[in-house]
Amino acid sequence: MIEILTQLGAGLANCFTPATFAMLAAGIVVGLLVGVLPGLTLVMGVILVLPFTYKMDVTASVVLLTAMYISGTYGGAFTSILFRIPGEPIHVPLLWDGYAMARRGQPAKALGWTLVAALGGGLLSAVIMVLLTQPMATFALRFSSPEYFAIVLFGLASVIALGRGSLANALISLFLGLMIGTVGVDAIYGSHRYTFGMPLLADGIEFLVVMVGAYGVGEVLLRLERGFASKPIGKVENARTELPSMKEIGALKGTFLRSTILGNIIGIVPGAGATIASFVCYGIESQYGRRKKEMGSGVPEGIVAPQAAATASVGGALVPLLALGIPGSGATAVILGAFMLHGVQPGPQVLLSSGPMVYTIFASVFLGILLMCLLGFFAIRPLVKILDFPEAVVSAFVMILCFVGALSIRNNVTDLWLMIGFGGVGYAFEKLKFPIAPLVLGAILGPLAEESFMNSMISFSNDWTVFFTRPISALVMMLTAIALVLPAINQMRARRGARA
Amino acid sequence: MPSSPIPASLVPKRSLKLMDTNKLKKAGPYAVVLVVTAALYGLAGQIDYTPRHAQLGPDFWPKLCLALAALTCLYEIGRALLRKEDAAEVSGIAEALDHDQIEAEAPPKEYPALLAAGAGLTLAYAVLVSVLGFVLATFGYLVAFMYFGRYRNHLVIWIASLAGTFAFAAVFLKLVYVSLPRGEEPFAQVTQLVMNLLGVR
Amino acid sequence: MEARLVRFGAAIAAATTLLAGSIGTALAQEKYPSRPVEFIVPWGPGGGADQLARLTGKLLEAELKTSFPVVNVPGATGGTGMAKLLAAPPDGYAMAVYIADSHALLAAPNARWSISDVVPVAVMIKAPSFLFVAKDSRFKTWADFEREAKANPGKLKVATLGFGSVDDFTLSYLEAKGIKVTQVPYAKPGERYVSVLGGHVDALYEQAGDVAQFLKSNQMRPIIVFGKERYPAFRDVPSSQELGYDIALPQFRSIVVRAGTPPERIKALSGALAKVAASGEYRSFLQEQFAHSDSFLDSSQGAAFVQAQLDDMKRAAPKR
Repeated sequence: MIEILTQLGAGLANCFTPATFAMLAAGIVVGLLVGVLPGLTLVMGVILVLPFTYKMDVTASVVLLTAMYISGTYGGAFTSILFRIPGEPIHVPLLWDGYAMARRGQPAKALGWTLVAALGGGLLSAVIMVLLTQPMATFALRFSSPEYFAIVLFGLASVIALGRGSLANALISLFLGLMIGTVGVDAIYGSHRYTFGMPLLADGIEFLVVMVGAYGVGEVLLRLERGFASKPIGKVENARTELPSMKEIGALKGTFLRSTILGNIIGIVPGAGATIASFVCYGIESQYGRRKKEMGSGVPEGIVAPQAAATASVGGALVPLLALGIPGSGATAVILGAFMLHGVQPGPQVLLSSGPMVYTIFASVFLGILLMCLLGFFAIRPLVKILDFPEAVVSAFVMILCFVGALSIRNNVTDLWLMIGFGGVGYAFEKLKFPIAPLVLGAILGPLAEESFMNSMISFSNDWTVFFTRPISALVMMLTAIALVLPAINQMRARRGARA
Repeated sequence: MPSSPIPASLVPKRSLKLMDTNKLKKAGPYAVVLVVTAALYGLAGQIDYTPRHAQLGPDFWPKLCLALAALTCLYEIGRALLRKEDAAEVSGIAEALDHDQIEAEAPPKEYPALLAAGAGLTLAYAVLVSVLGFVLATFGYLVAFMYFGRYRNHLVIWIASLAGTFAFAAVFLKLVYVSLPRGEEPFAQVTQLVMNLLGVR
Repeated sequence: MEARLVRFGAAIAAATTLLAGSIGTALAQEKYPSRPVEFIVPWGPGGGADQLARLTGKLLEAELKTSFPVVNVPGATGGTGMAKLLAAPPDGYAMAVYIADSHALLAAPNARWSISDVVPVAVMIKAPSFLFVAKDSRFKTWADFEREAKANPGKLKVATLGFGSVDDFTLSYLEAKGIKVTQVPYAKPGERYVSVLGGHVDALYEQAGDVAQFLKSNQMRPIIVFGKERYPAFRDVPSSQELGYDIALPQFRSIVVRAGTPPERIKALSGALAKVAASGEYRSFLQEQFAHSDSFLDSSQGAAFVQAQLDDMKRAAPKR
């Protein structure tokens, strides 16, 4: 313990050398920007920065990339909450409560909550990372396809339970979303499904197109229909209540703890990552949280849970990367590339052989989170001011931002058409009171769900009981069953109540 | 789907005949989804792949999703047609909140013409971006959208659009190269000019 | 509304006049390349194809004095990126990375493009494939693995890229020789590696460059290399040829342009790539990737090589 602390102290001192600190700061800023711009995905951003690291030493380059990775899980929170454009899939759950809170006239407060969540979740997970790297990494290896499937299924189930409108509508929306996920060449057989001979559809429908279209474009269309006459927000409460008070934070400590620890664990599992972490933690909060009944209407729990989980998953994802050399996601794969480029082999021996470097990286995670939240704090006020501009002007830019996202994701105009189409779907769903969330979630998690299901079947010769006989997956499956059955019971009870 | 903002439970008792059309109206959307799932199920059967011994094919997962969707639809249709009384659709957590909001605020005034114009403009952008190139199309869209959005400060509109277009071009053509449409001649020259101005080699 | 359109039109007109000068200069230039050449990577960022493109693009830029922006167009085992390449005019201003995995699609009856649609400019990397096991695996050698696979057909699991891939062809060949294993396809590299490290499968089909980190940290070891001879870095690992299995489908990564591109432009690119391949930076990249040091083939040799690979794949592909 003492040894870890001294090593960490030395690492912290290393972080303050001018070169390393400059990289840390640069990484945080670029990561925030990348997170804000939809279409510039985190992975893409990290790749674009990679060439600059060729000439640096290994510590500085990994610090740079890690810093980008951390702040990339935070930047998108701004667009998600202010304009309903999630920059990355991790920020979809954030807009359910965040955008609602902003529309209620508290945009600064909503952003303040994400800041506190990122700070709390990030720091706590960094502590876990430092203390438990080795055992956690070994734990991560126990996850195979059945466990992945169980976790994804839980993520899907928890959103159905959000229940805006009828359960049946949510289910239908989800299945349609899963069908969106099946378009394209399937990962296992390489067969073309629902591509109708179009080359772009062979690559499937990018979830970014679904997500930004259904939420961002759909919302602008809805407000255009009202002639941009909605009440000006922000004016009421541009005041000083940006950060939640200690008392408010204290009331949410359960949410913080649950989401951080769970986000951290999900981050460790290779292949799951920040997106699933943020969905699952939102789901948990809406199932078991104290204010589960108000989730989705703009309560802080709905902001804290996904954001804390997303930032906490970064600390988690670094564990298998450092201790086993396994990249759990696209971004960590690039970080691994940076290590390799400089001849450092992450793996079980790295803690022993390159201790100072590893602890410098650990320390940079702590420092990076602090720096990110500081920047975020100063960014809140000017960003909220954007909402004071005429809605027509802001919306025009929001639309172009969506278009660029679609155009740049695969460098193809067809994606623009698809996104506008999903904008129409989003508008129609909103008008018909059909929930959009399950559709978007299905499109994001569908391919993961299918692949892990099919792999389990192939691996265990079509024996579906594996999901219930392997301990970890059995546990998660049980939670899923509860998540599905509870709202059904509630619904029946409500109906009976209405009838009586 | 009922478009009236008044919760069904507040509507006074209906005659039998009215109720029947109401039932059909309720079942309608589900019937449409059911037909779509059936069509997609048919398509799933035609997926071209090389089968492997004793293993599920790539058609299994879509078929499973479609079957579950169809079951949900059938259940809802059955419920709509068979149920005796028209109980309120209270179910989700957020439903109650929705009603509160609707009762508190008068229904917002709607401008279908604006919506049509905005949608048309957006579709036009998708068509024209390949012809005009990203730079010109974006500039045109920004200006037109602000006017459609009932904003009338000409100076702000033109300056903001011009500056905005340049900012987007600077980020996506220079800072990070994403292959945005250059447009066809002669419009591609405008894109090229902007790229030259920004110093893209 | 009309007034606005007029004004918009006027703006365009003004811009066009301004441009008249620059049009003239653009047309006067005949030199190739005179503007950026789009470098299409039909795979996501971060993978082997992407690394190759970003390094080659950088080195080419120094050679030909124009930029080679890398554009990732992932999907459909490279099919989507190929579609983008084939949609561009054949003027040498778009080129793509073309790898063995995409090439394997051509061995299937329903391929979406044909080998005559593209012209290889150069083959940049050739690297052999291996079967790897986890360091503490009960299979000490290939002989152990072979014995167990023959005793319990279909019981051993091998992680691969997917059905219909090069990996599949090789395993199908082995199956015909009596070594039947169950293939578990993992499209994502990370999951593929965890599967073997965590003991969820018994072996992994992969190129050494992709698992270099596990090899150097001793978490994985090869048991067989598919090719004519042993690989210098793993002298103790038998080659398939010496064991009597005539199968060698190396991973290769080449650079192609659309068929119909003027030959002198192909020559210019191929010549520049030859210089790139001879550079020290590129040679050390080949070493990191555990590739053959004599990987580079120019345009004409490359075309013959790619054709020969296709014939081999068709022969090995599972027949049903």
